Amino acid sequence: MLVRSFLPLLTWLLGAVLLYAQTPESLSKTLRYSMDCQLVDHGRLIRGTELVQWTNKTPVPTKELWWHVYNNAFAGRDSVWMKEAHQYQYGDGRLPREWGGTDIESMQVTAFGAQEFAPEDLEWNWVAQPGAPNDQTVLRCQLPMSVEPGTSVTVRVKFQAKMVPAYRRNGWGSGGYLHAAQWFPKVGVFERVDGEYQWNCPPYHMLVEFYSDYADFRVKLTLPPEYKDKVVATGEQRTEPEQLPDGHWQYIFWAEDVHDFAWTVDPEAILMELDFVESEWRDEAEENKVAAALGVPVEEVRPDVTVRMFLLLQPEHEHLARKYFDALGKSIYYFGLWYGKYPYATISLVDPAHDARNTGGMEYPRLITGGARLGKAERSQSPSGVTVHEFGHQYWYGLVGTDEFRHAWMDEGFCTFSTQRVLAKAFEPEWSTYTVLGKEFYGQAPLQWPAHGSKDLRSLFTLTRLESPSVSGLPPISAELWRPDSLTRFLAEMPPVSYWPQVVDDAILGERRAYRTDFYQPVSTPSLELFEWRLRGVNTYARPAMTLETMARLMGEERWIRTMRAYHQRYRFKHPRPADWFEVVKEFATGAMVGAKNADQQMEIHWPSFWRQAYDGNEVLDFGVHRVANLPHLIDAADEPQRAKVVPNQWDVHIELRRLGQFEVPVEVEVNWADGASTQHVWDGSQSTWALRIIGSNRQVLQVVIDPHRKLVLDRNWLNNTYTVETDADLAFQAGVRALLWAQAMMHFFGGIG
Amino acid sequence: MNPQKPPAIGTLFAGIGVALVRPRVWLLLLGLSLLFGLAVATPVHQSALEQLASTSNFGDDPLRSGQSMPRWVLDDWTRLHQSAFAAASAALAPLLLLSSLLGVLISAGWIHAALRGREDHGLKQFLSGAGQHFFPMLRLWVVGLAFYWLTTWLVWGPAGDWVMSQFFPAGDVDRATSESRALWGQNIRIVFYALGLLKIEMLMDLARAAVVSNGSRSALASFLRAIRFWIWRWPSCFLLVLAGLILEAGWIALIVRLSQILDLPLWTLALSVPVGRILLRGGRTSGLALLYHASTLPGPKPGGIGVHPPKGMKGPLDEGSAWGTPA
Repeated sequence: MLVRSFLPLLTWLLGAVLLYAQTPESLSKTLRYSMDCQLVDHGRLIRGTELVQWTNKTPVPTKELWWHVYNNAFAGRDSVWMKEAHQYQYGDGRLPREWGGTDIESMQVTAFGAQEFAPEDLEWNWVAQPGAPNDQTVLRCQLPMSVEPGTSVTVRVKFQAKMVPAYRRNGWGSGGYLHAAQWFPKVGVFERVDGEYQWNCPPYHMLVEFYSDYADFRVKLTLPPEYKDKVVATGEQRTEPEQLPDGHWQYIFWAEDVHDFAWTVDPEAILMELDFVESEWRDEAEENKVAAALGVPVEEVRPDVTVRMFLLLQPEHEHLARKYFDALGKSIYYFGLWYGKYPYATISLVDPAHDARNTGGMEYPRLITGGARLGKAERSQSPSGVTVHEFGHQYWYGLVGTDEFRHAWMDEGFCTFSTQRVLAKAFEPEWSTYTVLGKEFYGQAPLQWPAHGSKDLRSLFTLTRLESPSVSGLPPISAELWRPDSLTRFLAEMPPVSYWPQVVDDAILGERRAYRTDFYQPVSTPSLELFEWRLRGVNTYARPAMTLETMARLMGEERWIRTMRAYHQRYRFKHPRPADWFEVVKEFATGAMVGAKNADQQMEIHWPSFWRQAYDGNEVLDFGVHRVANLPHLIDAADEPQRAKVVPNQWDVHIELRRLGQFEVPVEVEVNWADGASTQHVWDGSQSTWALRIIGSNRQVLQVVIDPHRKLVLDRNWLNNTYTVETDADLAFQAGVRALLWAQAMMHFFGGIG
Repeated sequence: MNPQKPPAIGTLFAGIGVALVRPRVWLLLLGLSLLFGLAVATPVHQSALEQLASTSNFGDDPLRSGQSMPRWVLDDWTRLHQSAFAAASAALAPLLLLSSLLGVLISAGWIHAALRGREDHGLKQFLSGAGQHFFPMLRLWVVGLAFYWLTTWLVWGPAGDWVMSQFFPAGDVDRATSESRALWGQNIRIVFYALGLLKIEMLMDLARAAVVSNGSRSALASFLRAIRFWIWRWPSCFLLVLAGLILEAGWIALIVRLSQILDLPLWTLALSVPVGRILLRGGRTSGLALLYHASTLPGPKPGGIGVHPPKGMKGPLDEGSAWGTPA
């Protein structure tokens, strides 16, 4: 009995000893974690012990270890996270239903280098943060002696993590679901920041995510019986799960070269598995393109890896398993093909429980969370879009470990760019939809519903509310007369008649929606300094993605493939900074020209200037056609010197273009002539105007197109890029009739007119 | 209450007949629909002329068919010409209120035509009837607002929240353990609300019928009469209105399908869809009024003639109807 009781402890100790054997190889890793954890309290509390070995890879010694204890972001309102949530009104100011938090029960040092000694308690304290002195998401412990360069220290931490009801990025659902992320004390990064070596270990902020060192993990999870075969985690199992005498199940997960460890359990979910078979997703044309660009045989770039895909799926989403696996398979394929093979043996995908959706759409090494809804239309990219995006983070965040605190765009921007490329390449374009009673139908309203909120007197016009003005001495009236829910809106707008039936959303160009937001802070602005939460979505995701897409289109696919591949391969398992990326760009993209081969000239792109404007600056890129005219060609009449004579079949052609923004970049111009010819020109974009004038031309100009191949995705206004002399009023008429039909439907609903 | 129960569907068709034989009325309404609609459509059209007409080469499906649209074009256009779209939306808002008020007038006209002027199919008679009953019906409209508020409050306010809290934690469907369950909960609430609105709409139409049929000037009394009638005859009312709505939906589906099959230009929908909807709505209003009127006709008194309709006017069924001719 005694032996049986101690058996788990002995097994764990043996594992830990094996893991921490002080071999030269083990010292080459910055971090090693060995954890023994137990899930209790219906999947809401984790009791754990971790043995962490940290090696100082810098040239300076340190006597401290700093830790992220991010679960404490949800321990109370005093955390930086909750204060920011209040500032940005996250979830309309809604707080977690219950508070969570991590208790550190003990923290002991057990070894310095190869020298082991009796565990010794360490002094530690929470690091007060500016504006949040009681924040407990960063812990600093004092070591009894310095960790010299090249040596290591081993610390044992006993902790208890109480998880919150799914609030943001982690937490539980009421059916036993638990997404355990940021659940254990995790060592920060000791590195050179702002010119000196220091701990890079910021608190948990709402607007930014995570940053840690690469590590090896061995995590033993002891789960209640109902969780048998209902668990996925970062890493793979190398032994079969074992049932303990009390009925609990013990799983051991191993993961190497990852900078975080997450796991998810759900007793009600279905666990599905599928092996990635490269040939099922093969795209030979793309393989040939990549191989040719890199100058290597196709076999060398083909991502023929062995990966087992796990899907922890909600039973009511079982019909979506095919879509989930398809998205995952395509992602492994295309990311592997473009940037290098996926190096791990597994990838796990979680479809979160309905009441824990706030844990969806997140990335952790080798484990991602998606999200799906019932009633989605076939031509919707759900759950494919989120799956591809979160998988993309395996490359941009997982393998290339950028600092998400300071340069969030480096993972989200690269990931968004890559996601949109995979979606554009391997999926049908999405169509806009509207929803009625939870089911999606195709279509998009031609105009915005005239909604006015409470306290807005105009809401009476739409009979949605009755609001009275403030009159002293009289109580204000504020009554909701009618609520336009999905069904009543359907009846009011009659979408089958009035909506655009087929609005096709190109995955890449869809990013242009970000232009709705005013870009008033440059991409280089740290996320923490952004004025608005909405700007994070723009500056971190869409805007860098559009910048990268513009760069790719400007430099051409071949150069782009080489650039991205080189950047990824160089910084795999490293922590690059923006300058590192730009160095790679300069190395591979210098010499890229703007202008077709038959253009009147070609012009080289000056990448430092481009980057300065796109990244450090906040310049608006906008070229537009100012005027296109075919004026009659006049000559002096020989018989009447005071009068001009029109020369038949000759015109004075005037083409005038403007740079409406401050962003300067060379741009192509295409002129289409009445005789069917097309001429190509290049404008260097440095002046605010450009003109082409041909006096006495024997052909008329029909159309002028700036940037005809739509390379400049960063151009804020594409509609002014084209001017056609003979306007096509049909287009305008159709748009007008759509609006008319929509207005008629609304008026009919309200009063029988229409 | 007259023990005679006129058939709901037959009455609906009688009502549609009332609307159908008045082409001048529905043509006028169609004209109004186009006129008002143009207030919204014109800024959009003008904006499209400026932004899209000289622009082509979208590289995607062209707009010309009026069917397909690249999303980025819509996005760029609406973003860059926000003022035009805001103007269109702003123009629509007061038009909706105006439509609602004009709807009162039109209902009065239809009911008057159905109950008091079956022979005269002219516009003048329609408008004079509408004008005659406009103010009591306007008061009724105000009473109706209160009932709309009540329905909204019941379904989306504390009462509805309480009901939801019996099925979901804190009444929040997002906290349901199952998405299907959450959807059901949400959809039932929405359908229940739509039925509530439909009921108010029916009560309003019945109350309007009561105004005309009983010659009442009191909105509240008419509304109470409508409620009383609803309690007694709700299946017939419901059947009539439902059948009318099904016909309307069928008309829309037919027209949309026909325009696809025959590849008709989009503008034909702006004529054909509203005309059918105006007729069928007129038919529903008239039908409900006829149902009310026929059902509330006093039965024959011993040795006497029925007192209804008042002031010696002809009853609506005097000229014969779908369910027979009174003795």
